[in-house]
Amino acid sequence: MPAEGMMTKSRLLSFFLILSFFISLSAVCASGKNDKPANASGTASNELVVYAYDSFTADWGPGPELVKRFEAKTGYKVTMISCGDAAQVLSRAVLEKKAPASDVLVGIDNNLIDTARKEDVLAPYKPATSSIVSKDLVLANDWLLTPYDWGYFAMIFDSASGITPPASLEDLTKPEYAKKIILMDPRTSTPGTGFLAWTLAVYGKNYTDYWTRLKGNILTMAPGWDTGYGLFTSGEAPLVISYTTSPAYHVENDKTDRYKALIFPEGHTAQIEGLGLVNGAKNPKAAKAFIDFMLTDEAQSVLPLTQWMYPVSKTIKLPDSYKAAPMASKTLTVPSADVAAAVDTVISILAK
Amino acid sequence: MVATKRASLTGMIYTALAIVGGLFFALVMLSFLVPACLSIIPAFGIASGASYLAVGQPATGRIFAAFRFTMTEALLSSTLAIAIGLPAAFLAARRDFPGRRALLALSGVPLCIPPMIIALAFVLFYGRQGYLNTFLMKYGNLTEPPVTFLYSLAGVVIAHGFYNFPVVLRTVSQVWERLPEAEEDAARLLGAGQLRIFRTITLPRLSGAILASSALVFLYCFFSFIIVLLFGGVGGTTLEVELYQAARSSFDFHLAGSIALVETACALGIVILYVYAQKKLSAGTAALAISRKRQRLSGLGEISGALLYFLFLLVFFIGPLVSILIRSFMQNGSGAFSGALRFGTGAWATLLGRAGFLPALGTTLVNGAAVALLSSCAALFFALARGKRGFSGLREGRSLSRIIPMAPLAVSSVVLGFGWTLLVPRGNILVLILAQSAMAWPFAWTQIQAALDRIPKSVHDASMMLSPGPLDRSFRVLIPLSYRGILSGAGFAFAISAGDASLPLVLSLTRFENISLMLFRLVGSYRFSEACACAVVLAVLSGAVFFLQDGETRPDKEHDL
Repeated sequence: MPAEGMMTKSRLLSFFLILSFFISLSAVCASGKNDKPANASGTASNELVVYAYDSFTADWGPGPELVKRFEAKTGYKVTMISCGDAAQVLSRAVLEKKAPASDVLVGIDNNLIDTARKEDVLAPYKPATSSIVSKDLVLANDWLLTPYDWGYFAMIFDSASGITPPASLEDLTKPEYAKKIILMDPRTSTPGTGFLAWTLAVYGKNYTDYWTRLKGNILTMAPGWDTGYGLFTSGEAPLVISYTTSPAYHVENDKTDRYKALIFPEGHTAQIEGLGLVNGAKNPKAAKAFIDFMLTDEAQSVLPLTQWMYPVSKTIKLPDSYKAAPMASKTLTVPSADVAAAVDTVISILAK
Repeated sequence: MVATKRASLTGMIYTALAIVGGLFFALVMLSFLVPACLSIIPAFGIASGASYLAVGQPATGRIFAAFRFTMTEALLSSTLAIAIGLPAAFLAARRDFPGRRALLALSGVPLCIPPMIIALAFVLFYGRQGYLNTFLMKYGNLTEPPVTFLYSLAGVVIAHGFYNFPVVLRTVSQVWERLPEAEEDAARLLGAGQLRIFRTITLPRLSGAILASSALVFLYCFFSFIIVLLFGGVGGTTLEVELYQAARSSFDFHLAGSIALVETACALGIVILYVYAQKKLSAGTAALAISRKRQRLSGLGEISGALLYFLFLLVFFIGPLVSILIRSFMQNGSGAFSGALRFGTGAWATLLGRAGFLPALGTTLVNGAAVALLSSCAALFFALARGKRGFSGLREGRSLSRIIPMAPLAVSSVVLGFGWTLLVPRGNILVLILAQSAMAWPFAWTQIQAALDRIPKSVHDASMMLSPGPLDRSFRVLIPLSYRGILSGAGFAFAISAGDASLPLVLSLTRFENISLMLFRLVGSYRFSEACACAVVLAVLSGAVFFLQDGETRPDKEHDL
């Protein structure tokens, strides 16, 4: 027994010793790494803090490239912080309202702008080059937000499924599409809210009837775009709500034109994403420079292949894969307050 | 003379180690209590913005419905997890068969694979176009997919039950392999049937471990929301979703805080119920004996039973897991514009070729190791300090000492992370390690406690007589005897840390990249094959941690304790 006891004990000890060694080693490395930018940046006024959503800051997102180009051009030092999704960007800013820790918020869209205004977290700023943004994309007349990209919501259809594609929102309620539609929850997902807004724009007050008719055809309401679209590409259902630009991604990266965006004659709702100057920002000068920069072709040209959304500047030549992204004939808009009020109603209808 | 010197030296080392352990425990407790308290402050503050309840009057009714559904689902899921976990625990504890270690190595999988991937796994396997339905339709000449339980309560329960049974398996098998044989043998001699022996002798002794693990599973299912929303029927809701909506769409932090409070209160209620049940049951259990030799599977009945069970596991558990592996090798054929997905290693090549992959892997390993170290030390300190003859005033019988380790399970990680951001607006990796340890140490504790509980009473008594003090006893007898549980606990903590993508996001770490965040980002950007490859990396990582641990044990040599 003693031998055995000793052995197990020394094994345990060595296990923890090795562990602690690795941890202290990495802690030393990490602290070394952290010191550098602090020393290099020197004065704090040089630093620009940007809050953005996660897919914006990801390796393959536009964030890293934009930061590189902006820093090279202006000499500012950008710290880009991922807060999760766009709603989390805003909620963070709201929580920090009394002592803002950021200078720019990226990703506040046409659904969130009312809340951002009500919570008073942004300050209006109209960039000098605001004229490149076409009128229907302007998010606010006082330029509380500067739009940088946009896209239409659309049903994406899997052409390998062998079904006839629907030609309108009304078609989606036909019995042949029973359990063939994947939607996203309007409470937790942007395309989910976008689809709800779409039904409001087309059906007005009758949207409740539409949802009652549609209910049986919904296979599931995914909590997020990622899960819903993952189900769709796994072949679980042939129809999903996403963006008209989604097929362009598949053409560019997967070399397949299997997935098609369906254009409905009644028109489509759109998502317009904007960035804004934080009210009480520590470095408003740098923030304004960044907002100006986002409208330059230098920045706008990064967006199509990283964001998979249309740039707001019309002078950008779109990549060939964007031929797979059809344009809607008509853009529909709904006040975001109406959409927010309709969410509970729709959930109640579906829960029955 | 020399001996006393050495004794005093080891005594000093023991004291120093105990102080370090105590500091770790205090650190972990503070990392939980301070942010948890901070996060509920908004619930008592003045409501910001429009009153949510006035806008959506149905919300109250919906919250109640959400609560009822969540309770039902969690209860059924944990029952299923026990039903699947017990036979596996029996086989792993009492029988020797090829693949035993692999089965045990799966323990960390449910903790480190994010629920979104688990949902995708079930869809890939059971979905309308899934492998199972495709197979059945092809060989059964069917036109409609025959397996359609996925989008119902059954789907939620099966997904939860199967992904959590390894927690039951690990905790219960550790106790089962040390149950004394004498009483069972006596009962057998007196003519009792196998079933009766199991019901009257074995089951009561396992009850502590079963209860502890099922409480973990229950709480896990209670807070789960992706699987519940996805499979639980269109328009369904959970408390977590209501909280989400209040905090994100309505920006009503007052309501969000209240829901978080309700949620936490419910979960705490469950914890208290568990503690009460645990107390009642433990009163009747005798101390457990030593580890015993595993038998080979033998006899036609036993072998066919085991085979049937493994077939069942293969279909319901391994099947979905392997689907993820297969999906990681599927991609749209390059060059050819065609419909079907085809086989290819492109996703793996892209993932492994990413400049950020190796640093992310390193971060996951270091971060996971730190969390494993901190939480298992804290859990060990707590388990020893509260022991029957422990060195502190916390007595085992006290309910409080059972509630403390379960309390972190009653708080969702998003709520805890929110509290931390109020403390440290811009987090760093140290904050992450503390926050993750605060969430992970209960898992380490259940493993360590189960290991300590099975130390024979005779050993306890002898050590009491012979050891100069409780510290000496802890370090020379109790820790060496429970080292498997300690390693197992560290493994669970590692898996939890490796799979956690929500705390790094909530804490807003700058320039932080690990495997779980990478997975989260891949899934959010059309890259599903690559995300599946990333999930396989995570599963292999946590599987390896358990596999290596189990390899260190030589059960057949332990019986001479």
